[in-house]
Amino acid sequence: MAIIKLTGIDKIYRTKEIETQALENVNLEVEKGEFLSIMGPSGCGKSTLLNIIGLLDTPTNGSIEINSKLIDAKMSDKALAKFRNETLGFVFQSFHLIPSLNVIDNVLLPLIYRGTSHKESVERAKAVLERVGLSHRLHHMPSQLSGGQCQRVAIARAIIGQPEIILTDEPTGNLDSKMGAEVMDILHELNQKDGCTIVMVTHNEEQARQTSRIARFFDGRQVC
Amino acid sequence: MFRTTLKQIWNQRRQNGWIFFELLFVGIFLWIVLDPLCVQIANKNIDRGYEQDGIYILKMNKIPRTSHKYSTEMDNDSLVRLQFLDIIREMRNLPEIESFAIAYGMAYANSGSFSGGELFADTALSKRTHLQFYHFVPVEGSDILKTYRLKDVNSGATMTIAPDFASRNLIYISENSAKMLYGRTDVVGEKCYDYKKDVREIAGVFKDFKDRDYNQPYPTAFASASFCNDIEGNFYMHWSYTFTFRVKDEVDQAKFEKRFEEEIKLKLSRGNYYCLGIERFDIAALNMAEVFGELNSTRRNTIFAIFGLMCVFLGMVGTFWVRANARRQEIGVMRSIGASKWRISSQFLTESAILVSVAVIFSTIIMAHYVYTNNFFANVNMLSKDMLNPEYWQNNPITHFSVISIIVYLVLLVTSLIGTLIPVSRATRELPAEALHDE
Repeated sequence: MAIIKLTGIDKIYRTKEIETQALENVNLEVEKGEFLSIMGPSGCGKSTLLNIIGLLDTPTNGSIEINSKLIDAKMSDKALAKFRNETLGFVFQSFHLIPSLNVIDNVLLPLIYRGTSHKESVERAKAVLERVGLSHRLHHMPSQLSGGQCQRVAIARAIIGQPEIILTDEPTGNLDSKMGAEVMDILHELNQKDGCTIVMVTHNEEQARQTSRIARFFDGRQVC
Repeated sequence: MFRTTLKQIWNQRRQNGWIFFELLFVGIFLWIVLDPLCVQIANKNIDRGYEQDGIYILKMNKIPRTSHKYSTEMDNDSLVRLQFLDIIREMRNLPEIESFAIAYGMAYANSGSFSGGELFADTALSKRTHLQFYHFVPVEGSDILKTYRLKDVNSGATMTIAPDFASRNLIYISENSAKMLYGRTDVVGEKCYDYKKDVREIAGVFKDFKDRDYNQPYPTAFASASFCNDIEGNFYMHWSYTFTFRVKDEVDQAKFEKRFEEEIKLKLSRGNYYCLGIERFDIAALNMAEVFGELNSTRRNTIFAIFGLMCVFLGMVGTFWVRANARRQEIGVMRSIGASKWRISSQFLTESAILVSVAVIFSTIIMAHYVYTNNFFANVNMLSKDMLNPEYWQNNPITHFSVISIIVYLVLLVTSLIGTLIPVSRATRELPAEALHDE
């Protein structure tokens, strides 16, 4: 059963002078529990597609169905925020941690937005940080961590709300091979043990081959 | 959420320090500017104790001796007295007029004139009060209490002058005068004394009376005097006596003023006297405020307050514009993990509110020291400390300080929140994908 269903997705960026078609008639289904890699050269629309799946961007045409729920333009900001909070988890290439918050406060933020009590949020944050091997860095600031540690904090933040879908944009792009491997191990564990559906944008052929399926893009079109 | 916001403020204390100092200085500035403005407005809003609407002053003048129209024959004391009485009767008989009052000198509210004196409650001259005397001329049916519609402090009824006012040497005193002298207001029939120990009987106590619109009520007495129990002719009698009158409630004042200008004014010339016109009491009050610099002072304080608020507003907009841009990615991240636009705005608003609150606490402490050493703005004219009515908030140091501090806090808070909301709302309208785009 498809947990993500994209039908006829177009994305056109318009300025006064030019019009750029980032995605053209993309039809994509991702099964529940699948680990999908999206590959393609720079500028082919991979990240745009991920942003559209993650409801961080809106398509020019086409429909998005996630978890059997049709996402339309009429959804309120509050409903979209709730949907992102409960169903989706994001892991970005450049981590995107909040620099003025320490590790544990960064991780528990999604639960705070959900209205979970501070005490419960802290307990769950400690548990997920232990799972990603950072229980000894709870009160460190992001600036005091290595790239790999930052990415593990970002993963902890993405999974604390137990989302069904994790979207990740080149999660190892800023890491060395050892740290990249560690991050990939965590993602595979989340997919296999927790049953999370993962959609990963990557340039790394080897990492992509380890996933269930690869979708390749070229000039905004899915080529296979 | 609040806990997280506090942590963020603390962790960004270096950047927040600058905005904190800006708010601190503006808090002090606003306190200094809003204090006189609030006191001026509060004093202005104290009940005048009389009904200003419907009262006019008759403005008379005299042809100068150098003019070819001047008549020497008409200018002797007995003739000018008759001329003046004739003018009074002409006015009194106008169908629009309800009552009138003749007072000695420029004795009318907001005239700018001040006739000070003292009254004592006993012959030992120990219990005293300073007050302003309105020397009233009780002739031809003149009634100053009725014209001003002064109210009896105990019954609330409109007062009128007793027919034997002059012969019995009666005096009407204000509520604050009675309290200063006797500590109570039911003092009709009591004796009071001037500095020569000449006795007067109190015929009535009226509600506090404001001689000047922008000041607090000053102890006032309406008294007769040997020199003004009758009209006396003299060369300057258009300055020696003031004629004020009240038109009936049903009279259309605009029509009356037009009729006066076109018709009545021309009929009021007697001998060398001629009528300049009439002036409404509220216009006289405005002129008074202008002449004594009160309007300018209020305008200046208002402009300073607006300037201060604009500085805060633009400062906050600018600061949060920069902060919202600097934290653009942070806003994108917050949205990606499930924060709604309002949630993000409310976090920034909370940050502003906390910064304002902390800054106001410090500015209030500094201002507490300032007013302790320099005192508050008062604007009470000649009122001494023991004459200040504690029922007015501006006269009670604790209430005064609290009221101004709360006003400063609220004004600063609202301005800061608006100044924060504008750039943050703009930042949250951006699509998260664009905010997170960092390549």
